[in-house]
Amino acid sequence: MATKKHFLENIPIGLYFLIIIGAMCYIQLYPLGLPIPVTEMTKATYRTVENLNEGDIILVDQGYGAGTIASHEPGFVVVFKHAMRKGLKLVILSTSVEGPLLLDSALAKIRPESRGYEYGRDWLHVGYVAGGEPAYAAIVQDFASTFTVDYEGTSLSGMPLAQELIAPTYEKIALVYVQSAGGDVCEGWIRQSAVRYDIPMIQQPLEMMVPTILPYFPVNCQGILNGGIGAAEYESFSGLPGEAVKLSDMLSMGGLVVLIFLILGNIGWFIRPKGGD
Amino acid sequence: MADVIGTWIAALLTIAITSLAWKDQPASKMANHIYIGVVTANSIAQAWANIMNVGINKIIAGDFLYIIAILLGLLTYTRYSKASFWVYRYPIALVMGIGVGTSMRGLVGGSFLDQIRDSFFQLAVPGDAMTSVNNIIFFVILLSSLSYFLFTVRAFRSETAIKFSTLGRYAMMGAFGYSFANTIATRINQYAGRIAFLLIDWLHIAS
Repeated sequence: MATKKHFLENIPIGLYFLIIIGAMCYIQLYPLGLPIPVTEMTKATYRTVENLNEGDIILVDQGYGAGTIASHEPGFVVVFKHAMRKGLKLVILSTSVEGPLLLDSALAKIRPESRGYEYGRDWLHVGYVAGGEPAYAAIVQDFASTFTVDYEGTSLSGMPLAQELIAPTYEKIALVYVQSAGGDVCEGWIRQSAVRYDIPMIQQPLEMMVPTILPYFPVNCQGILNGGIGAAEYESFSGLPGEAVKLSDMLSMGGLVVLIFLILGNIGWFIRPKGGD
Repeated sequence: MADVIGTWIAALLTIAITSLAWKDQPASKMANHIYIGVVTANSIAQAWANIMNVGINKIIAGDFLYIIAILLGLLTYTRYSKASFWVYRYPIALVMGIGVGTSMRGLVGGSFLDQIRDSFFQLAVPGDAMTSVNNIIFFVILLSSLSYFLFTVRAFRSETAIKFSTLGRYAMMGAFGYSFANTIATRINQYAGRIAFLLIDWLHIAS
């Protein structure tokens, strides 16, 4: 016969979520403004962008979907803003079908035109890219023959930035910035651009995928942003505060509540009557 | 006005799908189905645009080699025919071959050689005690974790070797704990984004 569980091990799941959500709402209404310690991974990411020269081109895989927007969009926004501050050019594509739909939301926060950034000359968006790793290989080898039109269907032949990327494209790209929820996408880009052509790379995987990418840091991947946490650190470190910093108190509070429940669950396990399973 | 309607729809769908945390109910199911429907429709539209931009438009421009790619793509649909389903194996085999071949070029270097090379460093760094300690911990954990997977060498069945590999097992459990903590952080972060949306953009009671 199974041993009866202690009530601390049987907290109703709905109550559990209610307490977490309540605590997070409270901290958003009354923020504490807790300090954000910046990890070496984030500093390395910042330095990689900071060390680029004006006019250098960053290839961005804006490969996130609606489900991970809170982790990825702040990172995209702050790196784009940092690139604008440095006078860098950005070529944006997406390995997620939802990525192109979500770009407008990010651009509304970036406002490239406010810094005099002109579409086609300083930044470019070619939309969704199918094909997985062979597609990444094709893009870094010959961008111009892989894409002939941008996301809106406008020919790239009249866009100066696209003309800068004629083969061999890997010699024209100064940095690859990959955002993705999938470890296979992150590792695919490492194999096809960093390993094969020594193109510097920074990545922003989801927090849960960071352990997969960590072994590549810093040899193949010069910087890693740990999802939304990494974005908050980057915002804080670069002096470009944005949405991730606003969420950091909620993250701390949510994490604290989960930790308390973990401890309670374990106390319940230890004090339950012994015997049975 | 469109923005206000959009915000209200997004807010109500967020609340509806969150109600799943309490129990499965019609509101959460409806929000779930709407999301799947929108994503599926968008996927079809994006895929079609991709076929047009990367395939059809190039054929129209005179690059007739892309006809082969389109035909191979169409052959994958033969799997829905009982008489000729075997044909779909050829384009799939081709795609798999290209995928594996492309991956292999970077796999050995990135996932194997570079990481082995990166494991060779000076253990004791003069004047930097913390780095020295980190390097030594890394070195011991690397060896003990590797020894955990040595199943067939007799020397690794000794009591000392088993204790050493146990250390590696604990180190790996620590790494799994880090991974699990990151998973929790991911989930909290996603919902933090929605809470911020509800409180700031919808209710306007936070900044």
